[in-house]
Amino acid sequence: MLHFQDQPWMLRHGVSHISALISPDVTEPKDIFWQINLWYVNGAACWRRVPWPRRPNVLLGLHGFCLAARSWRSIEHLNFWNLSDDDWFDTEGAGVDAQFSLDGLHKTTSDLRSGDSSWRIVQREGPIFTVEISVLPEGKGPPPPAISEQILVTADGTEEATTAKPEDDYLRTEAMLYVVEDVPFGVITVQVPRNVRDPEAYAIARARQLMLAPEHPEYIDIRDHAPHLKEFRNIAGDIYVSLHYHGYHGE
Amino acid sequence: MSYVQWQGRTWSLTDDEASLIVRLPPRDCPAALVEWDLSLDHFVRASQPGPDGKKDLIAALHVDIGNLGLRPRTWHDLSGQHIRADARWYEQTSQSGPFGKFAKTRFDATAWIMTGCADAPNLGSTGREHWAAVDFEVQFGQRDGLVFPCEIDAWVLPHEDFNREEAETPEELAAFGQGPPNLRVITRAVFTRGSLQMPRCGADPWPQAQREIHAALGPFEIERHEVKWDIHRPLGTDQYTERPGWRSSVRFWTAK
Repeated sequence: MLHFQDQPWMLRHGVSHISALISPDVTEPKDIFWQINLWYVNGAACWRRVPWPRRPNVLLGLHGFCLAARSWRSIEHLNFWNLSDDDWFDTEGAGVDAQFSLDGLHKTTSDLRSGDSSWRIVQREGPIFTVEISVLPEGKGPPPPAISEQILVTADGTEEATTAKPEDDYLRTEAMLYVVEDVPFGVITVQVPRNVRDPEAYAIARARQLMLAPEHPEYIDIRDHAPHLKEFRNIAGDIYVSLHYHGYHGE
Repeated sequence: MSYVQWQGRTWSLTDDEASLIVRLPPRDCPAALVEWDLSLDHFVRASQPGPDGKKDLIAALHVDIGNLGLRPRTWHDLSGQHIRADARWYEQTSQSGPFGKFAKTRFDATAWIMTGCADAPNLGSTGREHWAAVDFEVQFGQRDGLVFPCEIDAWVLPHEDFNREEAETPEELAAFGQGPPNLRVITRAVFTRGSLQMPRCGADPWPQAQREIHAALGPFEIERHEVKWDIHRPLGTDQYTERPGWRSSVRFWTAK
C-alpha cells in the first residue's frame, strides 16, 4: 500500500516485481544488477473515466543493491533503514528512485527524492517479499535519537524494560511517501552469447549457479534484438533470455 | 426471459439469458481478487420469417459489466446482492488484474439496430453503437439452481463521451444517475463458466485447478473443462507453440 498525497493508489501487479540482470561479465553474485520496481496508478473515483495510462502514476525503483550470499532468498536481509548520512552515501543501493507523474506515462514527471529515504525488506513468505519504503520531505531532519528505555507494565502488574524505536514511527508518520508492499520474485534476465546451443538451458544454469534460482521458471521469454537493432553491437551480440518466476506479464 | 428498455423504447421479450462468468486469480498472485463479470446478448428478431424461413435479426444489444466488484464467500451468496456503482463502489472495487492490466470501462453496452427494417423504427436511434456507463445498479434475486433473477439500471453515455482527460469534479462524482436510466434490463443471470490461470503443476493441472475452484467458490457441478497451455515462441521462429507441462489457463463450464 502506498501512502502519498492522501490519495488511493492501485499497485500494478505483474510489472511490480523483483528483477535481476546477469550480463556476460558477471562472475560473482555481488556483480548481478538487481532492482525492485513498484508501479502505482491513482485509484480515486474522480479518475474513473480517464484511461489508466493517463492518470497520475508513481514509479518507485530500488536498484544497485548487492546480495552477499549466493541465493535469491538473501534479498530478505536487505536493510537500508534509517542509515546515517555517511552510511547512506557509502552503501550501494540505499537510494530510492521515486518518480511522480501527474498526467500519466510519457508525460511530465517530477523527482520525489528531495528528502532522506530509507528502505528495507521486512519479511519473506515463499517468493513474496514485503518491502517497506519511507521518503521524507525536503528539510525534514533525521529521526530523534532512540529513547534508551521505557517501562511497560503488563496485565499482571509486572514491569518490563524495553528499548523504544521512535525512529520507526518517525519514518512512517513524517514520510512524504510511505510504502508497505508485497513484491514477488521475479524476473531474471540473462544475456546469453549467440553461439550457445540451448539459450534457455544456459540461462537457467547461470541463474542457478549465481543465485540458486529455482530450476523451473513459469515462463521463458527469449528476445533477439539483432534483426531490429543492428546498429547496437552490444545488443546484437547477445540473446536476452528472461526467466519469469512469477507468472508472465507481457508489456 | 430477457426484457430490455433501450433509450426509452421497450424491445421485444426474448428467451436470452445473461451469463455470470468468474475469473479466479492465479495462486501465485495472492493480492489479486476474484472477479465476477456479467454478460448479456439480447437479440430481437423480425416478427415474420424471411424467404428462407428464418426470422432475421433486426436488433442486438450486448451488455458487459467487466467486474461487478462482488466478493461472495461462495457463489450461492450472489443471491440478493445489490450493486450501486457510485464513487465509493469504484474505489472499493478498483484493482489491477493479476498481471497489471486494468479494465478499460466497467460497463459496456453495444446496441445494433438494423436500418430499413419495418420493425426497427420502434427500437430507438440507430446512430451510435458503443456506449458505456459510469453509473449503474444491479440487483440479484434469490438463487434457483444456477440462475439468479437480475435487474439492471444504467445511465449510458456514447463511448466517445465516456473517456476524458481530466478528473471529475466532486459535484460530478456526487451526481449519481441523473434522470431515469436509459437502459433497463430484467433477465435471468446464469452462472455459466469461469477461468483461472495455473502455475506449473505437472502434466495435468485439472485436479489441482478443480480443488482451487471449489475452495474459492464452493460446491457446484462442472460439466466440462479445457486446459490451454501457455504459448511460447522459440528463438528464430515467428510461430508460437504450446508448452504442455508449463503454465496454463483452465476454463470450465457449469452443468446448466
